[in-house]
Amino acid sequence: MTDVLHVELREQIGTAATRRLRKAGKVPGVLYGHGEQNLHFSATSSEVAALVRHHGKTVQLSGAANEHALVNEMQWDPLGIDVLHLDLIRVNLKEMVEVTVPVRLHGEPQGVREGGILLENLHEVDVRCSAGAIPEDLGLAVGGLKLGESLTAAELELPEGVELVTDPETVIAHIEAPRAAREEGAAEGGEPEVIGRSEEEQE
Amino acid sequence: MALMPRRVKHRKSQRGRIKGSATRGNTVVFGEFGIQSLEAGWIKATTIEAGRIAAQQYVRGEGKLYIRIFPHKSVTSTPLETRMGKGKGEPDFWAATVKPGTILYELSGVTEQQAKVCFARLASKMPVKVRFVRRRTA
Repeated sequence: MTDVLHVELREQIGTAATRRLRKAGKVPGVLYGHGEQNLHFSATSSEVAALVRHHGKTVQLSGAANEHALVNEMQWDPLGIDVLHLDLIRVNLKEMVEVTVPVRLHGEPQGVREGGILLENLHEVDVRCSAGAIPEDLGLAVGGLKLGESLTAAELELPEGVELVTDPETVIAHIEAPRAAREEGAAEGGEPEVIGRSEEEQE
Repeated sequence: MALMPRRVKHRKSQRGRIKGSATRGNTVVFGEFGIQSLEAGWIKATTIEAGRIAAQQYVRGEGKLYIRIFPHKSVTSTPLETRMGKGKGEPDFWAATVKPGTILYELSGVTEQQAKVCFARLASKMPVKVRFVRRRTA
């Protein structure tokens, strides 16, 4: 899904100016790529929040720029609540791009019914596809997965025109037997060994 | 058994000051859901263990719990009714230093509802304010 982002040209750049923008409810960003001039812009935080909610990869810019762009990076605050900065790359919807797409597991594995735990080893995979047809997620049927078995990236349901970049042998999900007792690697009681001090000295 | 380092370079550490927010260890990496600290503070090794027990008793082998913090810091204390002076006390307990934003625990293999209830039980054990967080998708 392509979100529409209304952008305004940002004339003042730098820390103080971006802080003022953020206080005014806007998110600073930069648009680059295709050998053209960089464009510093700002967008309203509500539109950026919608983009995050829709897991949008491509955006249609309007206002100061009228083109399509790919979200390259989003900078977040330390608590992961607000987007601090947007990095967009100019893109032609027909050109091939490499993007990271989330994996969606579906079905109830047989191993879970037997008491196992379904664990996702890899939550996202890299794919190559045209910028206009980036899949929202890639499905993986885990219904037939038994205890101790695993599924690899090669078994992902890839839509037409989407090519896997991640190693196909990478394990995406597996069923683990539940652990009866905890076997954490904590040191047993007392005090830890002090590096560079002999046993006698420690006593 | 509470967590503590196996080997250390020095038995005692200075108290230090916790400044700023976490810039590392502030995203959900291993599981689907996590619990994030909103305050800075020390979390004792025994508290980390209490949280683990509270969470694992609730999920009962259904999900997998990841502990994202480790008590690297030794905290010393002087015994009661001891006169001032005579040097730094002996190590009393181990603690993890936590900044706002640090992910404390993660959970995978359970539904969001189960994770919320589980982390609510766990949060009551924590000495810092926490919030429930989800994995941020690409």
